[in-house]
Amino acid sequence: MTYLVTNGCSFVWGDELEGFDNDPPSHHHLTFSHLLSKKLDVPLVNLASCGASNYKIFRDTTDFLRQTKKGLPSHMVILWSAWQRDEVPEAKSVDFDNGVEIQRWQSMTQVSPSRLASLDGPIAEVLDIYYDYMDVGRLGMIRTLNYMNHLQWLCDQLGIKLIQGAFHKRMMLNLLNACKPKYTKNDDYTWAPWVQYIQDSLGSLKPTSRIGLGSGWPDLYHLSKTKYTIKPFGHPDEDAQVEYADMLYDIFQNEFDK
Amino acid sequence: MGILVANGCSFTYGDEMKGSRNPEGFHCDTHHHATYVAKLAELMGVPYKNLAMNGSSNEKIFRRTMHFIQTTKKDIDLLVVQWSSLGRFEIVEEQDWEHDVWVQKECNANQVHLGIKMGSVETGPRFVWEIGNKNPRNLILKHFSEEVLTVSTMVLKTLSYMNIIQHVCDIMNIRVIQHHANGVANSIVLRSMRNQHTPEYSKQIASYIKGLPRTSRIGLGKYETLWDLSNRKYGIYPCGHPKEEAHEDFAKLLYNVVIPDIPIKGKQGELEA
Repeated sequence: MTYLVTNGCSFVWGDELEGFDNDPPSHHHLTFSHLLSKKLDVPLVNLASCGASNYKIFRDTTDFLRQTKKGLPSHMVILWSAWQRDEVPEAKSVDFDNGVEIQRWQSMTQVSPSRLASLDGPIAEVLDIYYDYMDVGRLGMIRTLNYMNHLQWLCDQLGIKLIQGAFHKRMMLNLLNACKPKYTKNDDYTWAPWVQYIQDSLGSLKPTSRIGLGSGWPDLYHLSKTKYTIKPFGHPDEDAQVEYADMLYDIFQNEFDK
Repeated sequence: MGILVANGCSFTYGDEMKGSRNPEGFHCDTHHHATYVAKLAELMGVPYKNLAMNGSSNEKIFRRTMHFIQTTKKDIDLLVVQWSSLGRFEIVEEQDWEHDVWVQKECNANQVHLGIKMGSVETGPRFVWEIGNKNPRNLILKHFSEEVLTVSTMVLKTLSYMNIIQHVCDIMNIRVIQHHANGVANSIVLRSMRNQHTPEYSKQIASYIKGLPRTSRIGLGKYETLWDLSNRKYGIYPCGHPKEEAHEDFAKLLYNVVIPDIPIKGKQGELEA
């Protein structure tokens, strides 16, 4: 069947766009997902949710492809979220979910170094120390690049046109920083095997699977920041959504079926 | 002719079998012919590739299995994935903390090994720390695994990985068998679903289990696992691994009982009449 699936975090859900905090939200027509589906003239399924970790994005996307009764989509756009996010199950009340404003599907809490304040005491305390000590960024890069390669391969097998990339320019900066030569020169310990793995994984991705990750096409945040405005809580504005949809449309039209 | 591909942890690698743990390194191990993977390939009359590494977490097993499927030029006739303890997870570190144990190294990823205590119905199963916790790293990992990660996270991840592999094999028309190292996995999964405060989680787990055919549920209520078989008939090696005779029996079980049970599927997972 011909339709578009999109997935990602708040950038894809459309957080802070006009009408996002109405009940129910009335901003969806302003998202790049909606605008792109109109340009492609196909229906849209937007799976994105605010605060989503990359594991949740991967899980929800693969679950959808496996279980959908609509037939497989013709187009798919995935914007991956911050490397360091993850998810853990927690027993919480519905009131908690509403208070945090990040929905907890399957009782899973999306955790991030930047959201410690919304977590329970012991979990926040332990994570605070854990984030200081453990390299969750590098771990997230290995995992996410693996998920990206899997989705690229799967979509090739299923005949789905896939565009994927980074939601924010920080992702590329994090990646470049973690791969600096200085990290491979320590005589006692070295990140060299990790760097090689990352370079191989990144090298396996087509340009259309590296939006905002060195492909020449900008990420959504960078586009909004350089040409338009950023909303108070860091999200791209309405104009950036329009231009991003145009860019993705051009990629779908010009980069596939070559 | 297609090949047999297998992945897993030390159970599939064949740790503790005669000829393993060669002091010169893993590349000098000579036990490979005695693993259930080699025995099964022999029964099937096909070449095999055993990707298993000691100490692998399920994250590592999934990552490396998918990478192989995506990059191999060979036809895969049968994929056998053995899932490891649900109490393991992967972290990346500059320092190799596994230098004094028999674990193969790869891309700075260290595999954290934890036991699991069953916990109460209220809290669900929890990790229990089995490694000395005198240095800050171990203490931090202990608290992280107990207070944040919990085994429920690894149950969800493992079952979603199992469903993804099943889906991929259905699409590629590859026969697949998935099995857990030990029958305890079933109790852990069931217990993780009994927390009355996480009903949506439990529903998701049930959906993942339902998505798997019986031939991908060895150790999850179907058939007998390699460890249980060894424990029942031959005993267990000192470090907890199945005996050589059990590998032979398990290969026969897979060949004679499980393989004929694999659902026959066509392209795109459509069940053939």
